[in-house]
Order: sequence, then C-alpha cells, then structure tokens
Amino acid sequence: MSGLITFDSSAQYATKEVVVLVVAAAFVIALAGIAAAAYVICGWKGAQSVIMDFIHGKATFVCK
Amino acid sequence: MLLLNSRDTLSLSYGYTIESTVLVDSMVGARHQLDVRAANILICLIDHTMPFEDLIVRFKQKNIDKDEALQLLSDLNTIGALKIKRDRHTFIEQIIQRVRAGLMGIKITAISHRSEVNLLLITRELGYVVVPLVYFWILSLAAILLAGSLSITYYATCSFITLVVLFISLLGHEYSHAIALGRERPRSVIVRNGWRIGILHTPLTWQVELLSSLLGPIVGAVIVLSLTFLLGWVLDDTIWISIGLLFAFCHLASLIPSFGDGWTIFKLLSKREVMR
Repeated sequence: MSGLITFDSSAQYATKEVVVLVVAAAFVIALAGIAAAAYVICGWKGAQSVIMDFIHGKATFVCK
Repeated sequence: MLLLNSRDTLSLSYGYTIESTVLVDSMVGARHQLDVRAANILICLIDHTMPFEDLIVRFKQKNIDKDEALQLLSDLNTIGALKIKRDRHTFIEQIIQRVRAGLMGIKITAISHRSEVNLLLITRELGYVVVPLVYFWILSLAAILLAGSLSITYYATCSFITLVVLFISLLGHEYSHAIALGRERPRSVIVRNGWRIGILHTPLTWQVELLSSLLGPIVGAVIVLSLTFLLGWVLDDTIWISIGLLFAFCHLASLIPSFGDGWTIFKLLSKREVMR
C-alpha cells in the first residue's frame, strides 16, 4: 500500500456479486464438451444433434 | 500492477468526494485519510477528468515520484475510487503491454468501474463482462465450422440461445439484489472489476442483507430453469434441461462462502452467533 493513503479499516467493501467467471466456465465447458463428445462418439464426421434423456440417464448423439 | 497509458483519463468515481484531506466514500460511509499533497491533486478529479500524463506531472510538482503516484492510483483502484477511461487508440498497445507483462509474470490489475444502480446500467455493465464470452462464441463457431464435429446450424442456434439465457439470468441475479435493497437503493453502486460484478451498498439491517444475498442466486436459478424448461418444451429438445441445471447450479454456487453472496450470509450468521 502507498504511504499517501490510509484506508478506513471499518469500511466494508464486500460486494454482492454474481460469479460470472464460474457461469462463463460452465458455458465454455458445456459447449466444448458437447463438441468434443460428438467427435469421440461419431468419429470425424461429427453429430447432427444431441438428445438428452434424463429419465434413463443417457445422451444420444445423432451422427451425420 | 495497474496498466495505464498516457492518454487514459481519470476522475473520481461516483459516490466519492474529498473533504479537506479525507477521501469520503458516501456509499459505504468510509473515510480514507490522504496525504495532504495527494489530496490537493485528487481534488481536481472531482467532476473533472484529467489525462494520466498530466496527473503524473502534477504529482511530480508536489515531489511525489511516478512509482509512488502509481501505487496510490493502484490503491485507489482497489476501492473503486477512480473512474478510468481507456484511450481507444492505444488498444493494440494495451494488448502488447498485457502480453509482455504476462510473459514477465507480472499480474495486471483489472480496472474497477462504479455506476448507479438501475436496470439499464446493470445491463450495460453486464454487457461489458460478457463481451469476452461473445468473442469465445464467435471463435467456437469458426472452430466448429472448420472441424465439423457438430451441425453448425444446431450448434449456432443452441449456443446463441444459451448465451442469451445466461445474460438474462445474470441480469435477474444482480437486479434482484438491487430490488431487495428497497429504500437504500439510491445509496448503492454497481462495481465491475474484470470478470466480477456486484452491488456495493451502505450497511443494512441483517434481515435486508440476508434477503438481498439470498434473492440474487435464487432468482438467477429460477430464471435460468424457467427459460430452459420452456425452451426444452417449445423446441422439444432435452439438451435445454441439462443447460438449465448446469447454470442454475452455478447461480446457487454463489451461496458458497468463497463468493460474495455466500460470504455475506456467512458473516451475518457468524455475527448473530457472537451476539448470542
């Protein structure tokens, strides 16, 4: 800290913040994960779409 | 390290003023003591902007060297006391400086921005935060187009709608914090610092504080789940449910004490425990 300022120690600077980085990471992981999984499952041609089945706990990649 | 270029302009942020040698933050009721020389220079920044190079000249005239002045500006940035406007013409220069600093292992401090709390300004500030994600989205579109691992139409539609849902839910999260403040809203500010965006306000009763902290993550999660379930039903695609659950989890993760909302709740609960 600079000697030109002495902070008020009683001040509270904690903000109510949304963790954009965590949500952004989820966005990136979700997109990258689906794109990568399409390669692994369908091979080099890739997938047309993805169908999630939560009742039976499975994801179906419709290959091209 | 705070990266500043000669043509960047500085002024005191919203909510700050100088009384004699005290830097007063009316939003949190803080009074920071300034060196008399620094106070005489910073007083010129109330309601006026000054280029960084002129400010350094003024510091030199008061026998304050550049390193000391930079340290002061960096300290002021940590409490959001400065409104720094970047010179757009030095955009490339800034990137080069950042890369150079990164290679040398120097951590660049993000600039803090403060503004009034209203829906329009929260939207604008969130827009700035989400810009890197839009860049990533455009890059990912190009990558998918080249690699062809997914249908580009399917990917572009899904990812764009996801980005919009993400933005709306973040907006709901922050705005509900502000709504919960009630009459204290005029004495609150939006603080943006790099990837972080939050509401800073004057001390409140523990009930309002708790309500405001809980409301943000809950409203964010509810918005994201409602929108994605609606999309899943309309588009008949179950992928929206998984996206919704993932983002709802991220909103609720704000309640963990490591993050702003969770930390406020944790502090409130500890304080009440001590009072008993």
